Amino acid sequence: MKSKRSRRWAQMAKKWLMYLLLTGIAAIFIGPFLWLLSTALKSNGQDVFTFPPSFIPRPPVLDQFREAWTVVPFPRYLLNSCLLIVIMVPAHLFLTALTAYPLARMDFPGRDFIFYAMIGTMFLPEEGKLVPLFIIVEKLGMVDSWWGLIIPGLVGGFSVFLMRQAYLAIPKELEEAAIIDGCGAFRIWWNIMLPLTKPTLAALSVFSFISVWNSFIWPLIILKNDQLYPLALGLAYLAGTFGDDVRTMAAGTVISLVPVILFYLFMQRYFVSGLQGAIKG
Amino acid sequence: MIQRWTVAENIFLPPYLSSRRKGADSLSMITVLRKKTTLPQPKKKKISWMPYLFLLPAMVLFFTFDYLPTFSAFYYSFTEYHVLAPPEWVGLENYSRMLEDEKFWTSIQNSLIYFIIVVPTLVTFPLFLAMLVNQKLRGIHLFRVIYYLPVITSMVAVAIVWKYLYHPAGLLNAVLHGLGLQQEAVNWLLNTETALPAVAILESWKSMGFYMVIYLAGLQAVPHDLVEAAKMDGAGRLRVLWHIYLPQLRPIFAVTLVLSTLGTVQMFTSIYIMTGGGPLDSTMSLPLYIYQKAFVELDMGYATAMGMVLWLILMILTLVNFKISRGGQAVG
Repeated sequence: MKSKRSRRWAQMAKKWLMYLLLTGIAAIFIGPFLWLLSTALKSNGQDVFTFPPSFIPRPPVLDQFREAWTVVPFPRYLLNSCLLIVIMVPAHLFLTALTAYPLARMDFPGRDFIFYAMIGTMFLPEEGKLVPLFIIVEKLGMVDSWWGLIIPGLVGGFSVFLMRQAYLAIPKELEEAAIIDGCGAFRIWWNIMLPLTKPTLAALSVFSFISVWNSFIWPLIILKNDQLYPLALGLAYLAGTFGDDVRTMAAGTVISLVPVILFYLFMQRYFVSGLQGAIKG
Repeated sequence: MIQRWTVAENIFLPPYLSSRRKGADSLSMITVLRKKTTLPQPKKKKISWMPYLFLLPAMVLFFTFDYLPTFSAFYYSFTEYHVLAPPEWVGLENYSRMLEDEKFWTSIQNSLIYFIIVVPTLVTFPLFLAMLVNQKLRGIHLFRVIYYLPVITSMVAVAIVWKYLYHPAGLLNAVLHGLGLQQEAVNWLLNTETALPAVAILESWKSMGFYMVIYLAGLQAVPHDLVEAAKMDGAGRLRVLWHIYLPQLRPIFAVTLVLSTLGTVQMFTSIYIMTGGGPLDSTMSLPLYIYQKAFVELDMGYATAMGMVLWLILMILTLVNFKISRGGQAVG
């Protein structure tokens, strides 16, 4: 009797210790973000760098957000990033879905070669080709414009791979019935196959959203006009000029983080399914 | 099981690597897929152009923006090219110039130190995290979400945040002082001794969650019967971990080892934002140096040659990593 109760106590204690450990680790990952938020909310009267560090803004003010919104061109960068998302994510999904379909469902000469050539691009050296890619984009007259930002990023080997996996999982009877009914290839693809790959399309759109929103190196290289900057590049640019104004920078950084974090919280089940799809095939 | 991991390698490793496996599982799988995908062909006499129509846009894009730059990189690396004038053939001059370029060697050396700090951290600690969040506890999902959070945020944003944390009057110094571990404030990012580890810590912190998810998938794929059987035989937790989980996770270790290695060699954004490669080049990485040569000094030929060297390093590291993890499997 006694041993049973003490065992239960031990189990409870273990459970709470586990939560303590989990929370401690969570503090490491979420702490910098909380500090950022509290800094952004502190008024000019409150010292940002104090000892002991204070996390509570007294009183919390929105002045910095107003400043980040009006004085520096933050709305412009935000708008740019939103526009890029609206253009690039659907275009990327459309092209990937179009490309992966015949690779998964049709039989034709050179299919495997084309497939391997496409997924092989994942292993071409990003750094090795950065400079020549810039030279090509420059020769095409797309430097310092959104064309140069959008077009080279429209297809990717990983997406084609993932999308092909999705098509492969669809039973072929569906397709055969449509062929017998006399549907053309494009109609079969658009009306029958595409709706069946929605989970993968969702996962792809998640990855695509995140990578467009966070893209930095390529925009840094090809954009000179700061009116065209997407958010991450704009933020880096401001960090160079406004770096000493910690509060305003913090507010701006919060603005840049909120959309992507919200998106992540709403779409997280697709993150998991997407990654699992990648690992399990 | 085996097939499952074959697919994982197909994603994360070059195809020519995964086909090296003796069993050629991937090949047999492709045959299976091909059988699956064969469609009834009513007209056998002529080749349909339809599939090529579907493929054409992507093929043009892949060729123009992936293969063309890669191939022309070989050419440009043998030229002197400053954008305004056409490239001029200089043979091996760029490569011999590298041998005497101190900054080049410094950046290689730095990459090695980044590697020594970041890779062991990212191969071991996320496994611990994955085991923690793999427990059946109420609310465990929330912890997974939090640990993964830094992965989805942009490196620019977190590097800005961490720059303020490392500030002489920032949070880190305050905490260290408060704990009595340190008397004077340290300017972490302006000190040649501490700047590199500071950047490396940010880099590890940011991708920890990514590797955790990879390990988590691996842990969940370990067959339950194996674990149960071991427990029935009276194996304790540590022994189950050591004799069941770790051997089962070997392919996952290969993936994390390769990915984290590639990640460290390619470090760019964190350094660009936090230190710009300084102080005194103590945090300079090869990608950042290539960027500066190509797009600040417009020395494109030389930058491309360094890019080729970087690519070579990446390939060698991938192969070595792969050999090590495969070799381990053969012995075990």
